[in-house]
Amino acid sequence: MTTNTQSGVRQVPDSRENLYRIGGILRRLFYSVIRAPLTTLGTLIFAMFLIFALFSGQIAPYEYDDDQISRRGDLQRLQEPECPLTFLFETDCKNPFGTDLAGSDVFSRIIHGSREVFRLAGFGTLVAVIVGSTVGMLIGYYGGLLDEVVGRLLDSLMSIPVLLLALVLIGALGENSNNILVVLIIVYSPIVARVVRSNVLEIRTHGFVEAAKLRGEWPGYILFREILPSVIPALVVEASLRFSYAIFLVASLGFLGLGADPPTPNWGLMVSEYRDDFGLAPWTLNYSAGTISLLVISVNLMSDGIKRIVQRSS
Amino acid sequence: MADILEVRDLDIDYRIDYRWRRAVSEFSLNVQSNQIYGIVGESGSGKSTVIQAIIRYLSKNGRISGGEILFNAEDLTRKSRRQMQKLWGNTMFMVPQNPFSSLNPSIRIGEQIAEILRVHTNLSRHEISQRVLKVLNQVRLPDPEKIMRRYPHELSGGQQQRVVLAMGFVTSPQLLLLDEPTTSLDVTTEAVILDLVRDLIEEMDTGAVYVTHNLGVVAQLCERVTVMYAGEIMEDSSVQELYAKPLHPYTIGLLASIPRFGQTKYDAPLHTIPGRPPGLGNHPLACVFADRCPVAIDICRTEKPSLETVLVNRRVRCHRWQEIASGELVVEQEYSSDLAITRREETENLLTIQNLTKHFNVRRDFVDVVTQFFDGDSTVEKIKAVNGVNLSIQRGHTLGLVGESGSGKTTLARVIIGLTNRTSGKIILKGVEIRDRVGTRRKETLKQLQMVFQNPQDSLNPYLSVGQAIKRPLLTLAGLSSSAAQQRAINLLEAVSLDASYMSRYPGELSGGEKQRVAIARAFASNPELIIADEPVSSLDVSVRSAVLNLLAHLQSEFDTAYLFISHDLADVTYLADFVAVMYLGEIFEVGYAADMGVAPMHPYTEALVSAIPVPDPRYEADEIRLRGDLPSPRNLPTGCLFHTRCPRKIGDICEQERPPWRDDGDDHFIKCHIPIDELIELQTEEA
Amino acid sequence: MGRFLLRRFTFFIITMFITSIIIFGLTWFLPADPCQIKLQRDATEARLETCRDDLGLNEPPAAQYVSWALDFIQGDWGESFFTNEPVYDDVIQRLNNSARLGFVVLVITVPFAVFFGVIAGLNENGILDVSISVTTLALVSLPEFVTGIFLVETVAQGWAKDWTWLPWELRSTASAFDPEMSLYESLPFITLPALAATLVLLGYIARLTRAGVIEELKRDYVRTAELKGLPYWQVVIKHVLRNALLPTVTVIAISIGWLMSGLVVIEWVFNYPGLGRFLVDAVQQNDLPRIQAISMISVSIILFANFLADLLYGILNPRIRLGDE
Repeated sequence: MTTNTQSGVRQVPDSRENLYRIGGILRRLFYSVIRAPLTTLGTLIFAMFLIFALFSGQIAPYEYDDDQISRRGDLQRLQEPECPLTFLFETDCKNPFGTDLAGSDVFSRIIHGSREVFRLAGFGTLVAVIVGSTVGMLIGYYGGLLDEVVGRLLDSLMSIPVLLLALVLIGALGENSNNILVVLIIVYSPIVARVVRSNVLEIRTHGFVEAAKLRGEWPGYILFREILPSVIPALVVEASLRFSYAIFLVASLGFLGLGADPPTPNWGLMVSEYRDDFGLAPWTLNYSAGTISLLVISVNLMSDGIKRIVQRSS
Repeated sequence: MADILEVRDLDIDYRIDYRWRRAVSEFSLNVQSNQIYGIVGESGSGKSTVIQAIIRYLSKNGRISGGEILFNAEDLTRKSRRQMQKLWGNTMFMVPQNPFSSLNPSIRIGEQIAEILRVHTNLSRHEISQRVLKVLNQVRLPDPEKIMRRYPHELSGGQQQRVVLAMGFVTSPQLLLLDEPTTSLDVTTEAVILDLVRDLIEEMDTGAVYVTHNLGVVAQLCERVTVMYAGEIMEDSSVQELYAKPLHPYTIGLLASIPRFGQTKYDAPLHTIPGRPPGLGNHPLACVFADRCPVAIDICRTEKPSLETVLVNRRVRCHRWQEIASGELVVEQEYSSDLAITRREETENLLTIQNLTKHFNVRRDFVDVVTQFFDGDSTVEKIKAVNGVNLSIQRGHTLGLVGESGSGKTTLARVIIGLTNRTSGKIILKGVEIRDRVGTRRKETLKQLQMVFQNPQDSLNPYLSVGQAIKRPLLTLAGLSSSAAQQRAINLLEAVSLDASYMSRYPGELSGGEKQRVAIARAFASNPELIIADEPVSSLDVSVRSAVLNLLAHLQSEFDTAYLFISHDLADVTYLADFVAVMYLGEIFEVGYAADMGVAPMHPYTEALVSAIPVPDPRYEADEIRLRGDLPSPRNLPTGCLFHTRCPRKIGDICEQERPPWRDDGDDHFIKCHIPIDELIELQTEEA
Repeated sequence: MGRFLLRRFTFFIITMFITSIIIFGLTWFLPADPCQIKLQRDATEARLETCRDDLGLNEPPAAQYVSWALDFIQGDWGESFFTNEPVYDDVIQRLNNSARLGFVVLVITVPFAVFFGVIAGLNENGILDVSISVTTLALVSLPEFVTGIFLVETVAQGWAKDWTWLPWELRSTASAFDPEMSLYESLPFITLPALAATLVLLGYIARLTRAGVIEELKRDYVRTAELKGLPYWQVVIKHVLRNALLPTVTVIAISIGWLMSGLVVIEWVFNYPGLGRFLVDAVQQNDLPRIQAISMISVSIILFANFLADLLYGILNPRIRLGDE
């Protein structure tokens, strides 16, 4: 074969196309940070909460139900916030966010609460994503009657408002923080399944999937090796979105007095309790409500950014 | 004659990743009234950018960074959006590529045209509707009064493009910019639209810039042409001179790389242009084409050639144009003898298809079934995609299958390969009938039938490396060990002219042509007896296309593999194929040797296809055989001969009532028509 | 069009059917024994047996569902486990209260949300868009109870105490709310909860509208319209909004579902005697017939709203109107 009939010229591929190498991913990450400061901020705040949750025992100065008053023998019933913004740097700051009427350290309760949030919302989302994407992949790939029946069922489940379905489930299962996990899985799996299904429907018509069929590959290989990687970007977007709603749902249920009993450091429950003390100790409500809002906003900023990045690269 | 449009030294940039990158540089152009000026180039050449800049409608990240655009001696680059608004739709208009997406789906056709008149004229309501009717007549739409009240989705692609043209011509514009207006249409429809554009521009005395990648369209339509490459003008000339004696190596290469109708792989390999164009903003300070130029010398890589005036109205950007012009330098490729394809003896049939039919049920979901139950209407609508096809493919030979969109050729391919089940009929491979779906076929069968898909973008998994993609069939189908598969994969890559370094690359790093090569290598991995190639080159650029066609021809002679080569392009098919079948509405209408296509006798449909090919030679005068109307719906097929609704040679009621018989010209050439062979020959030679 | 209508109606009925099975199954079969729940401490073996007979629990599940569904359609929604009163009257009363609140919320929210969404979409990535987008993101992110408590504690009981210019006094709880009041009379009780719901819903609809407008602006026919020389406002109104706002019809239907979730929390915060608060009470009391009735009625409303939205969408969209003939 002569050299000039075929491509003898090898060129260094354009850097912008180099999407699938680690270097390319890092470079893109860097650009994303510059382009989207809000996304970065959200991600950082989220990371902070994640650290709080993972190391709550080490970070929180007290247990969530420690009674400060008896421990310190202080006559003053309530401790106001001492150093809300600089607590990281002041070693002698005992109660950065003050204490509540029960004499517990609000900061500690919030830190312990973040563990509770990640335990319920994070774990619930994770299982919902796994269950939902498995169902979605199967009905999307096989289609036909299976898709018809399961799809209709999912549609019907999704037509029930999330909080309503959650309340019905709690009413039936009983109030219990583990039941909240079940609720999250039942409520969010169908939504994830829908998203995955529609992605699979598109990807399964691509040439590379058909080529795999022509090789006689078994469905498991096609689903996990050929299709799954292309679904993952959409799945990540959906998971981050679900996570933010899950935090929301867990907090709302706690606020309604369902699924958590005092003195569990559930943020929703804390807001509901501290609301009654607002006149005497406004900071308790302010810090607990503020924390929930901060976490949800940061997760939303993050998932918004992930969505943009995924959309841009596809 | 005065110039309507004069573009001088236009520079255009795009902002990508926080940097302005030059997309088009030093572009210039003069257009006069009643003149069609072609801009031809491959994807990424900047040809569409140029006309977007001329009409001052660049995307948000684009800017004009130099030069001027004089329209009736006024500089458009200095005009504000508000000032441009007075010109848009009034004295200048752009006809975009995709007519369907360019029409608002929820506004009636009549209103979409009338609103132009309402902004630019003071006509009364009645006068406006008269003008709209008139222009719909001018673009030869049947029953304009009805069309006015229609919505875009109710029209066919060709009709939609006429509506867009009507928008351009409803005010008498001085300048029309056409951006690949026929690329999304079928060849026969394209031919009709091109006739219309030519006539309207002459009638209205309009100047036009016609952007296309198709050198044939330029030859048939334009008076002057500019060849663009990587954002620069390579050559600018009258169409006659350019096609008669191209001066730039790029132009020479492009013209030589298109298979002419009647040219076959046995004659000579096609000219190819290796490599790929430089990316945006990566332009070297040298000739942009030097890396791919077969006659590049040192100066080409160190110094940028200027656009030199050769003669009046003829410019070229090349250091060596004088040598080329004088004939001292011939831009030609030498082929080693092992690339030559030798004709094979006819052998036994490898694959035979008998009476194959595929009718799709119109998809009904559960809700539809229940709805229909209440409706009392339980008929299941059927899309009749393939209707009784008999074909056979010989070992080591190529059967070309040609037809326009909606002809059922892709469905036929998918049924044979087993991706779609069939309604009835037999498929016999090496004397053994094979099963329906790919999932039920034996490994031995899978190994022997492979496929190359149309769209290289999605035929490779973006998350698997090239090596993984090629090794997989070697491991599963060919049953090689891991190390043997590695070695074999490298050999296959070399066979498709890619080197071993590609093993670790990912599809995202490859060009379209490279992806298609990898897909071809993957198809060859199991050493199949038959490869079905469904439009394997139609989404590739002209200069890449010829290399893939060469490659397919070469691999066939090396591996003795049979092809079913499917294409809408008759010239590609006759180049590569030994036998050709012509398909229309799921039925075969003509079968014969590739060499017999295009000479009388032909089926009237084939005749129309041949006549519609835009030949890249301005001296060529084609017979004007044009098809009427649109493709009938495959849900509701015509009676009698399926082609009678559009046939230019319909002889009478018999065509509407009776199925036509197969007629044989005595030389293994079959035509399904009511007109006897002798009469066909007479009819078709008379006019030529 | 007739075919289209029939199809959508069939869809509505099928979804309604499946949903009712889900709700009935969850409330009736998921708990170990509804009678145990009903009788609680009073449960003796004999009483449980009578109760099971009364509630038909000894029948096969399918028969139980059928008789429940038939009763439900006829307005017999069972008796409360807690008060032994018929559920129907209470639920309808509460539904009426919630509907009043929901109506006010939708009337205020939709125009504002669409307006902000369109403005943001037309100025994609501009200053206006960024400020609207960040604000709406924050609004969507704030849990309803945070917004609600803020309105109660900080606004109503703080700042607004000195506001004399308000046409009516803002009540931070609805304990004095009387269902017989006219809409105007109930405004002091409705204003704050409606405001809380509005803030959340506003962000939701505005974001969806913005996305619709941005998608629409990228369409080729918008380019065609501009290149016809139409003035910008005409391009926007006639070509962009016409198609971009079509999905808004659907969005409003969806947001009714969203609103219902939000109202549950908001009614709780403001102590408003609506359906949502009633549901939380019922859940806390394990009052299964009430839970069934409230969830069934809510889902029916949502599905019916979706059905209406589909119809409206079909009427407004020529592709569906004519394509299905």
